[in-house]
Amino acid sequence: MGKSKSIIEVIARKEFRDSIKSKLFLTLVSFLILLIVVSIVVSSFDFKSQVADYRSSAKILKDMGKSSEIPDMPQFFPLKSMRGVIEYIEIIGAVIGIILGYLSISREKGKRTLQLVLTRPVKTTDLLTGKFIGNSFLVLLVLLAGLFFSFFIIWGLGGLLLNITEVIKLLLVFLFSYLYIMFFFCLSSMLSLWFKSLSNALIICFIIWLVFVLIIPQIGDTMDPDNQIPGGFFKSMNIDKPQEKEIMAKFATYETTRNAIEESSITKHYERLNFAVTGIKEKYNGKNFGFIFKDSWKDLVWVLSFLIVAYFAEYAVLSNKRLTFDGG
Amino acid sequence: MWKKIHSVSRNGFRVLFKERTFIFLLVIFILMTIFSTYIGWSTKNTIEKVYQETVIKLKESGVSEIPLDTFLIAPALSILKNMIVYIFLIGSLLSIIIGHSSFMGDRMAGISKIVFSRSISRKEFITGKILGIFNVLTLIISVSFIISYVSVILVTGHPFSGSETAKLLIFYLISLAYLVIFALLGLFFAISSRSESLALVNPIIVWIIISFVLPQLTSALNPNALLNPVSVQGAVPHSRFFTIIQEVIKPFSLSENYKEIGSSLLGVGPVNTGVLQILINNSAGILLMLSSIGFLIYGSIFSMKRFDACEEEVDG
Repeated sequence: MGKSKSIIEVIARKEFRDSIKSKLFLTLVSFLILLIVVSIVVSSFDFKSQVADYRSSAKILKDMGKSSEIPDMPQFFPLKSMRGVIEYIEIIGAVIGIILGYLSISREKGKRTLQLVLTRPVKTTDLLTGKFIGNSFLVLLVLLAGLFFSFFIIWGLGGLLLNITEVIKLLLVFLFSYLYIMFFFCLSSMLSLWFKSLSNALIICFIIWLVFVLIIPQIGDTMDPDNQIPGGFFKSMNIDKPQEKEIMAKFATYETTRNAIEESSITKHYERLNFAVTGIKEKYNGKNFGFIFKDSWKDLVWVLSFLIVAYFAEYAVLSNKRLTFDGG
Repeated sequence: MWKKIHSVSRNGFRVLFKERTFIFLLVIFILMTIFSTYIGWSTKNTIEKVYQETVIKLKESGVSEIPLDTFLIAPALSILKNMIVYIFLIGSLLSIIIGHSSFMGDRMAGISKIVFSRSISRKEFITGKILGIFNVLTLIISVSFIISYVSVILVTGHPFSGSETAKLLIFYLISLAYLVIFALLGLFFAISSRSESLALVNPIIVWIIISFVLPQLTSALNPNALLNPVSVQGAVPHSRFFTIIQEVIKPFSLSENYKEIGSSLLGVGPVNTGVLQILINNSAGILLMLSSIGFLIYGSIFSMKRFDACEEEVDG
């Protein structure tokens, strides 16, 4: 047990050191941080301009003597400004996972060290766990930097210091992001082990990424009847939520199909989970954790299941030495 | 000279075909074209029925002023609106792979080390590569055009008018130009990057900037909202800040110009104008695409001239 632990530690340390020196990894991380900054800044400016619009409309109504018709002032919910960040992690975070997984195997294949390591008394699980832990530290480090930037930009631009519940919610977002990114890490490592050509493995991985991250959510979104008119179909028809539900109940098969398409993607589960926690989905805004997880636990189970399946698929490919060495 | 260029281009085409990359991409394009028509048709039918149900509900509530059914009068081509997103999203990414593979394959196999010992100049070689990429994309886009044309007629049951055929044809020509830009981007980085993975990831970063970051700066729309042609069409800047940013950035935003031209041609927008008017209105966007192609061709030739044919093995 002690020996196994030290082997895992050695592999994890090596993975961490190798990846953090990679130009490719550093390029992607800098890009993700830049996107996080851009996203929150744009969101803050958007909110500020909404407030300015509100103030000018309120002034006009007041001057016209219609003070009673002035609507409530828009409220700033700091975690809602995380929407862009979550969506960028969906896209770029997944790419970071893919690149880390690819680098982790391509280094071994390039130097033909995988065969060498496996001829030594190193168990497949030790090798896999070492790589997983080493890259986990990297991903957590990147996400921590993202968390740090998000916290201070919201504070600096929005002028709001997050309370303890919001900080916990923010930490949950980053925990879910870690699980999500590690799924793509395992998927990419598995494909890089499996395919003879590393380039083909990377291309196939990007195609899977395209399907999960962009195509499936896009199909679900564009098939939504409410999304057929800018601003929402039902809103344009002056239909309230209960009436909308009554109408859509008559299209249950269509809605079930649409939902099934969306549910086949890990990205959609990751998104739903985070939108619930941060209150981006209105229904969960300001609610306690019990209320949020009463609905969202299934999404968490889905994200975890995707990760576990990818991890064991990688284990299966690595265990199958014939397949691995044929590919090496 | 043309014989050599033609030979490189034909060889590039053959390699892509042999590696099954071409077949693979062609299948994806065929699937996404069929999907686009099916989803557009299915959504249009459903929203029509949802509209009818909503009218019944409103009448039951005693509402007399009912908004008009805008879906009924939507042009037949508008059911292809998802194609705009598929081209700017999937097509462009796949084109990067085509451009990347067309040169990286030679680099990895060491062909780029020996090819210049023959009587072929670097300019002729790269021109042949570009021509090969162009031929591949033209073939893919032509197949996609035919499928769109036939499938829309099949599902709507109405033949296209001359103007609709012209709009569809121009839409696919503009799409071809858009795809060529990204394929050239893939080629450029395949020549100029030191490692294979950086050669693939760098154009993907540029793709993300063009597809998501610039549109977010000009419209404040989050990345996922940009995948829906309807939300893109409805996005208006809220304030002076976004208006200024939009004025500065939008003319140079390739994806937004492409989406705008595509939406006008397929009749997704509120105004349905003639082909010539659409082309005149979007001439700046078309010019931007053409100049991007010119710039990238020049960039590829320039990096090919500086390319170290005696390089050591390419890094992973």
